[in-house]
Amino acid sequence: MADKIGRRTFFKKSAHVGISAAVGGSFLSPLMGRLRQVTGKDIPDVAVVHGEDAFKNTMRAVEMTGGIEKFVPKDSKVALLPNTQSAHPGTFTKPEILRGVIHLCQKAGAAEVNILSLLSEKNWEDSGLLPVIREEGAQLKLVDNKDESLFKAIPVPQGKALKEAMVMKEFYNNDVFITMPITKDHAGNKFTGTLKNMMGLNFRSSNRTFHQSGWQSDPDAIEHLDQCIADLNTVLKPHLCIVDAMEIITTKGPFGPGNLIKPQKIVAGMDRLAVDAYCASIWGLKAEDIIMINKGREHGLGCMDLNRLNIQEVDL
Amino acid sequence: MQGLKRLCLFSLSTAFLFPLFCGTQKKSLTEYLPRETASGEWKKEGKPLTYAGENLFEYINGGAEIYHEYGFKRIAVQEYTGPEGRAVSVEIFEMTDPSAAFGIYSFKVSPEDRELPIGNGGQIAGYYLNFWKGNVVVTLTGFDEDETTKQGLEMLARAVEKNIEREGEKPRLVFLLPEEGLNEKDVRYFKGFLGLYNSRAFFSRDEFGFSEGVRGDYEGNVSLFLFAYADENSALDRFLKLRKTFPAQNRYDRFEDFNERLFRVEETESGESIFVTHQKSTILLMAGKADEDRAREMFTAVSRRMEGGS
Repeated sequence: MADKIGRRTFFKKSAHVGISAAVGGSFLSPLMGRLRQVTGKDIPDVAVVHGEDAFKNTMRAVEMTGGIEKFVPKDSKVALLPNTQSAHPGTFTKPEILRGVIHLCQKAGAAEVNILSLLSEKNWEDSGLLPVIREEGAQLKLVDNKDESLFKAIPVPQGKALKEAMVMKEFYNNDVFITMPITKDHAGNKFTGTLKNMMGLNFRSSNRTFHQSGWQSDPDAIEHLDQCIADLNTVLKPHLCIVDAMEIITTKGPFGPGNLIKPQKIVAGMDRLAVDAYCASIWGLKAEDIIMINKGREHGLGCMDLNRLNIQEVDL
Repeated sequence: MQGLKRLCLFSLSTAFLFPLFCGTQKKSLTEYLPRETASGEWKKEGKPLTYAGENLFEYINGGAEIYHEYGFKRIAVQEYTGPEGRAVSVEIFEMTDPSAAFGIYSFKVSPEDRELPIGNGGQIAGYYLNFWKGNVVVTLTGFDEDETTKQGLEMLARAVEKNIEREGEKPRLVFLLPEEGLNEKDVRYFKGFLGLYNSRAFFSRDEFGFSEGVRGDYEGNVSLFLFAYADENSALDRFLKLRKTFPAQNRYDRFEDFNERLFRVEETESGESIFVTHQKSTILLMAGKADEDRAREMFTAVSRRMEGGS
């Protein structure tokens, strides 16, 4: 963590980069047809950039995944979903990562870069993300999580526990979706990453059903929660995942404060399970021990076997 | 002995229905918040935030369940600023009773944290400090690990602590843990599955179904878990279920049934033994690279404490 500077100073000084987003496959606009086709064995399943500068790490990680133009067509509207759950160190997506992603999207010619959130402006202010959004000319779209009319019922045909999601309508005004969680500990799921981050698009009342009534005495409460998260991910598909693994809490998550480690990594990729499995390994967790990742595999969301993945790591 | 004395005192107090914690309760949690520290170096910044009951989800979005499991009532959050623009956030959690406060406190601290004599117990880590007093848990978080911030954490903690009049006692179950070799900084108290799952995930579902539980870590990398049930029959039923559930899991093997009251399995990956027995309305579980003798020794020590011996 930053030494000898207060929180606000820290945010001000460190807010140099940022990125993230995601887009649901079912609502892709015709713009997506104009995506640059970048394929080839050089593009890893998981791109990992290690270095002190989160902005530079982000830029390089996106480049390794094929470049932002692969995901963001000119004139597209991009939705970004960073995590700003708490202002405690190691619990929210770093401002400099968000700055980097906004910058990249704009460079690619995005018509709009929209940061979506169910949380209050204070969360964005306290985490230092709001100034970055303003400085970079992106839009913060705050959706009132108590107003059901702002959400759209989405059937979850593959859902085993969740049959209907309630996704913010604002999400569907975008062409591209980049999800940008911070990976960290979670008291309920043991792990937070790309899969869990999707709850940030879903109506709070719907999210609350992920915890069944009487969950405190329900022996399957955690399984149910993780199943719901995996189910939700069958209808919300990011085009790109960019995960903050710069400075993260490995205990007392998701809110903290807890044990802070500094892997100084940005992890990017299109396969949520691959990205999450790699992120879990950063602090010694095994993907097979994380229920939600296993449930995601059962849904065919991706590959969680690190031995079968093309993982490229670079140092900056 | 200290623990035993407290256990006896606890029993006496409950027998005569004395209040478990005493002192005046503030009407509003914000009354616990000092305007500034005694030195005047740390001052309130902005207005406090308050949340109660289910609204905790608005503050701890996606992470409030653990607080509710222990028994959450309300929270006040206040930011303070200190020298050179440093900031500290103070969170005051009012829980339903001292057991709940100690429980969530035991969830929040780590054995690596330094003990701090404050309230009914406190620990300070690199950038944060937790303490509990009565039915209140206070978490102070700085945003760097600088000495000035650490001093600020302590100064603010003491200023808040002064305003909390209520005192509390650890749950009775905690005092059943044998004291010899116990790492007192690493005692976890559980009110439900989530707390246990975070401490050690024996199963991905709640196979224990306890009403309260405690974990103590001992010299020799051994952990002792005590799970309390409503009555002896409930504990016996659960024990018999566990005797089937453990060996049915892929991650456990080498099941050994010593007698009707004790079995052992081995966690395949860690090679650790898990011994399980039941005594009265409690299930006792020891996990670690230790043998049957050590398990029996620990279980006997718990029995003695249950009987009121040393």
